[in-house]
Amino acid sequence: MGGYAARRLLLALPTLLGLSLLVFLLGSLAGDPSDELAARSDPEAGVTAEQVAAIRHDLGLDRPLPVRYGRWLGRAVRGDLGTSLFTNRGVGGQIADAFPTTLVLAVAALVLIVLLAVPMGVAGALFHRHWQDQAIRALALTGASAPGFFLAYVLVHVFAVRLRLLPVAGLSGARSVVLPAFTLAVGPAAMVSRLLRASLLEVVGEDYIRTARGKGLAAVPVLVNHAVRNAALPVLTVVGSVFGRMIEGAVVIEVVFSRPGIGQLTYNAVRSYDYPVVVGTVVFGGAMFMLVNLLVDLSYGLVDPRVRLGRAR
Amino acid sequence: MIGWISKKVAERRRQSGFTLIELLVVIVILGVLSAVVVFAVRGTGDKGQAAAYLTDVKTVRTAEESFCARFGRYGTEDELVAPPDGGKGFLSEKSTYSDVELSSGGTCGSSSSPNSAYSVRVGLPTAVVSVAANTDQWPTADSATPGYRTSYFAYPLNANVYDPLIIIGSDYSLQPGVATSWEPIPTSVNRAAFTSANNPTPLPLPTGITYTNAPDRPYNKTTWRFHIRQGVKFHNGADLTADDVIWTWRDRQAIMTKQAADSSLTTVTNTLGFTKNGSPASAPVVPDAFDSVEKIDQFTVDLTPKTENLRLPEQIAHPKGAIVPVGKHFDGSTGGLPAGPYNGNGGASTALVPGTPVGSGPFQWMSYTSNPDFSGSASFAANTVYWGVKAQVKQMNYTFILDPVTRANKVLAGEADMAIDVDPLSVGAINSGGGHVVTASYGQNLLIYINKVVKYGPGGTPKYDLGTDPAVRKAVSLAIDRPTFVTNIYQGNAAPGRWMGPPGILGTHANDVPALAYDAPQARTVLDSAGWTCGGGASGAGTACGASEYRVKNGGTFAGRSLNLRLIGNDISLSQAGYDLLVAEMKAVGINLQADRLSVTNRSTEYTAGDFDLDLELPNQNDANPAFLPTLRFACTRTGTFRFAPADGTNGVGPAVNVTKSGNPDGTWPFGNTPCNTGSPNTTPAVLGPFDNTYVPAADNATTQDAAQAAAAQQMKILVGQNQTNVVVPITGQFRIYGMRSNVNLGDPHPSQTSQRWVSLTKS
Amino acid sequence: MTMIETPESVTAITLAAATAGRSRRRALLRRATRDRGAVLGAVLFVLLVAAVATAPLLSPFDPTSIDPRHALAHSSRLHPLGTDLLGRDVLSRLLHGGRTSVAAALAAGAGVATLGLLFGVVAGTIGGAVDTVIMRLVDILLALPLLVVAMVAVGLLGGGTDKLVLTVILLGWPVHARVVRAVALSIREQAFVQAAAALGASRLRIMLRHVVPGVTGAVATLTMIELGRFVLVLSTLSFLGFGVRAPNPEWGAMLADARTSFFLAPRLLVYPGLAITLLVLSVNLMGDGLRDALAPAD
Repeated sequence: MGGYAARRLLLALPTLLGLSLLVFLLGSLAGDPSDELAARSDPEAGVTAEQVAAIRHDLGLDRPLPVRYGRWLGRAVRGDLGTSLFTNRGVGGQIADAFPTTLVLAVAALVLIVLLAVPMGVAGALFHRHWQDQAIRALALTGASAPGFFLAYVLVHVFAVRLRLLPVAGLSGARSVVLPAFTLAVGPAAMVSRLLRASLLEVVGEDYIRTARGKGLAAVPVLVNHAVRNAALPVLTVVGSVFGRMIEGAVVIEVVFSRPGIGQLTYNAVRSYDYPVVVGTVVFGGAMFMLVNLLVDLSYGLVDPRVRLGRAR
Repeated sequence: MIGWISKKVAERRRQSGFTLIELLVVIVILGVLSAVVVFAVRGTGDKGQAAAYLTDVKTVRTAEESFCARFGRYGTEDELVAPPDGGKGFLSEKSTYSDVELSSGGTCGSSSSPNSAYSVRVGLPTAVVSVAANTDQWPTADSATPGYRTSYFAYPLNANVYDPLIIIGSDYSLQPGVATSWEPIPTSVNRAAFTSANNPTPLPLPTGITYTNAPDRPYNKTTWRFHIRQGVKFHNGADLTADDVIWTWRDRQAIMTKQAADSSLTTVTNTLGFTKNGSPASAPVVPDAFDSVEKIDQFTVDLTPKTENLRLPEQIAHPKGAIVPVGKHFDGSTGGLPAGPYNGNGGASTALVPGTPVGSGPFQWMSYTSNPDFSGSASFAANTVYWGVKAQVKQMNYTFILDPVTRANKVLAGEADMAIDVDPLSVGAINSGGGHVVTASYGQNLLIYINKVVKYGPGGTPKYDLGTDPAVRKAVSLAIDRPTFVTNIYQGNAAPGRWMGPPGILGTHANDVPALAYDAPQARTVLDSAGWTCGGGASGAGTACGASEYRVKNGGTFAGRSLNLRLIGNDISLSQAGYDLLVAEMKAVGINLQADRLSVTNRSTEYTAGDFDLDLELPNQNDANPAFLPTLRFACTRTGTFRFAPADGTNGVGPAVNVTKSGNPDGTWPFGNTPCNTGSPNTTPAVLGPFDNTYVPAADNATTQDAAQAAAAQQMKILVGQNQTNVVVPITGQFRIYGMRSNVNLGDPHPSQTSQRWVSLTKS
Repeated sequence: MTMIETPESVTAITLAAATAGRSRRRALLRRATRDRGAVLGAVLFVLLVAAVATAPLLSPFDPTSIDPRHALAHSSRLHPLGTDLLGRDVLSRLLHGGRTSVAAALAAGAGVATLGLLFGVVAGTIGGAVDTVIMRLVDILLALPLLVVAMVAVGLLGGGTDKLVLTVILLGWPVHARVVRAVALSIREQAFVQAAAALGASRLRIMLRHVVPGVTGAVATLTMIELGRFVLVLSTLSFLGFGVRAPNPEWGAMLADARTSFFLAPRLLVYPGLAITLLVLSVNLMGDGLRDALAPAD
């Protein structure tokens, strides 16, 4: 298992490299922030061509792309992701500052996903084809179909402004994570509940469950030992994916709820052409995704002994 | 054995159970005790405080009655300390807890008590106000460029922590700040002669810290002398003297020098906020705004600008001209900046040490949590020994939230006492949701600049050149229905646009600028008679074009061209509905407007490239110089070869003009608005094209603020006036809206948010 | 929230669909049409598409024509959904806005399906170095957060629906490609294909005759499942200010614009929000129906 993990990590390196090259190319396609930077140095005045040229030179943008990428990569492997064009802070530091906020959101969302999805999934399987199953399905699908920003506005208006139960936005204690995490969790929870339901139905239909039942085992241990364990596989995949893609999910949520996480960081960086930050966050997001996927794959073996790691998938 | 173990376990169990109960009892008792103690102590504290307040008020009242007996009127707090006749003071020092406010009308010595002629505002404020603020741009000592993100954007907090020499009143009048008075020492007077011959008792030479002046300092321009207020204390308890003022300007200057010398700092705003033209890396920059900053005595400072500048007091009446104590930078850091003469390049710098910002303003800095995504928080405490009108709240806690609706939600949900910059469309909700709004009128202008610089596309095809046609400019101005903008886009929280800046900046001359009319038929007539007809046909004398028909030039200069204009603007200045309204209104007169609502960055790029006919902006007026906005977009800021429309406003494109900066040797705009050398006296090259700038020099050279205002008004009339050039088309005057809970109030909001001081904020 | 589909789960499901064989696929379709939810989704989808496709005929007003004196009007016979801040008819704007939203999602779906099919079939049939290169690219693209990269691409390269769709296509195809490749690999192993290869059929021929028809079912199912995600991604981007430019109304942008007027007229925000939800729901219902039909529950 250790060897497998090492091999996967090694395999991740070229992927990460390709990813960074792609993002870097994208950033360079975007053009040149020098004009904007010059203008920003004093918003109440104009810009001269010399100022722009000087800034371009300072940023190294007058050099060819391969040189720039090489320089960036050389620094990146040493942990230096460059400096933000606008805050003049290290990109790594900014990501490190923003990450905990996003992590808290993702973990809270994960908890909510499990809390919402497991009862819905189990109930769905138990009441298979009954009205309860249909009602749960309708609820889950509608929730998953509503865009997050729409859901967020409605939730804020009802729970924060009208009922004053939860904070409107910002980072003010544990309560402030509830609404954003719920908004983030609704879609994946619907997805997980559907998968869980399908898996439970599938597993319950399998021979070995019948065998186990035939041996006279009580229903509950059967469900625990076999069904839930098996159903956990696809669910784990979804949960891993949600976690791995938390930066993607966090963008809208963090913007709407004014949370200073990675999503907000990326959004602001894109809006201000702060390409070192953009490259940094996207590469970081990709690395997170790969890492979480690896962890998920490794944990398959723990959840389901039938999964033997080390073979090509 | 087993029996023994189970016995032990049972014992342990019993014991631990007992201790647990015991522990609980102890905790409860301790809790009750501590609560009692806390309440009791707090009670005595409050009682002690209250007694002190009472004593203080009594003392002030006694002093006032004694003052009345000697002078026949009541005096200000300053006069109570130092009576006008120079006699012994009635108070040994200014009261710590009380403020005296005089009101006219009441008679001195009348028996009614308390006397209505004055009131004593008592006591230390206790209210803590939570504020949902818009921008988080407080400067912090920063690892990459410490001390360089200094003052410029720290709105609206810097105006509260720091005092400038001169404060801008909410009517844009100049009011004494750290300087009690100031005067120009005229150009014609030789400085040496002035100090010795014209002045019967020559002032002593600077003592304490001394600074070398430029040896070749030419005294051929106005020196400004500032008299520093005595008794001003910084938040760290130090006295504010001339040394601090000298240090402040020297510090700002040194940062500029450093910035110019160090090309890696090109992205940094210079701390003076006064624009420098030229590139730090390639052009010989003269970073100094001043020839000299000189200490005359402990409370007198002379500032001599690099070029003649009669608008200096109005320009430094801005929170960015705030005074910091010797050794500190604006962001509170210490060390770092180069020492050296004002005229030279700075010496070596050392690392800056982050520190707490220290000012002398009505609030003092408590804490700040920085966040690059504009979502930090900050706390400020009232300065109880402030020299001026003291704050009426004890503390202000800011949370920075970029989204205006979220800020309004914070107030509605009771999470914040006040929200800064509430969206006009949220005003109704706050008013009906148990709160209210306070608006500062007409502080910003939403306006359109019309591009008169012709850009040439591939093959020499002119692009974005229709703005050179005066008929097009006039039609654009006439086509904008300003009242509809006010009603529909701002729900009444704006005024029809008329000026380039807030009317207050023009003082009594505001009405010299005529109101702008909305007259779509007139716009159509103007276009028709200029040959812009519907579909390019014969002149229809002001007829409206068909539903999907636009105007085409039927001959002459732009023959065969369609009347397509491109407008650029950012998504902060105006809502999408506003842009849509502009498009609809232009369509109503036959102009095909492409309105691009861009991100701030993209708009800036397009603007710099010159790819637009109309540029939508929301400029601020943050200092008190009336000529600032008329000059802003028309100053010499670009070099290269351009073609402009003739400055006389006639139709057509002028000759190619090579624009250099050679006519402006020190490049110190706006210190002297020397136009760039163009080789042609009639054109003033600029970002947006030439204009008749008759009155800008007049405003620059005016010796009084009033005269400058008169000239600036004439200049605005030319720029916006419908029978003139119409290069500037005001749409609306924006109100700053503060939304607050019903128990919070804000008196006298300032039209410039930069200068908003929270001393009039109350919370009951 | 953006419904997050995982490539893995989708692979498992669609793999089952594709390898099910023709008769079983028909049975699946039958079962899906028996599912009332899926049928409801299909009906809803057809209605929505028909409504926005005939928007110029159905709309009572020009979506951009203003009437400032009748701003923020409530529902009336003249304006069934009321008017907005400038007195524009909300129903007309919704119908026209839907054209952009629906067309963009369909274009993205079609583009992703095509690219995914192409790369998947090529990787699965040719194998070797080509396969390795394509699958490495798939790994890289799968690791990229779609929404964020689309935001970067559109934000930095300049807005516009066309660019937005292009970005989604360029980033979205790997999910399809992976599934198609897996299906193609399994088909390649099947006896009749082996036989065709032994008889000397060219790779291209095998690809066209056997593999492509074999994977179309998988691609169709997957596209249906992905469509909802595309609608959400596209509307989210327009909501964040990347994407559709004025004066075209678009649902995400309409919702973003209604943000500030929420207190004045909450309906301006609710209508486009419901419109997006309905569209996504219709697609999700169909996708879910297919998924349920696949589940060997009985």
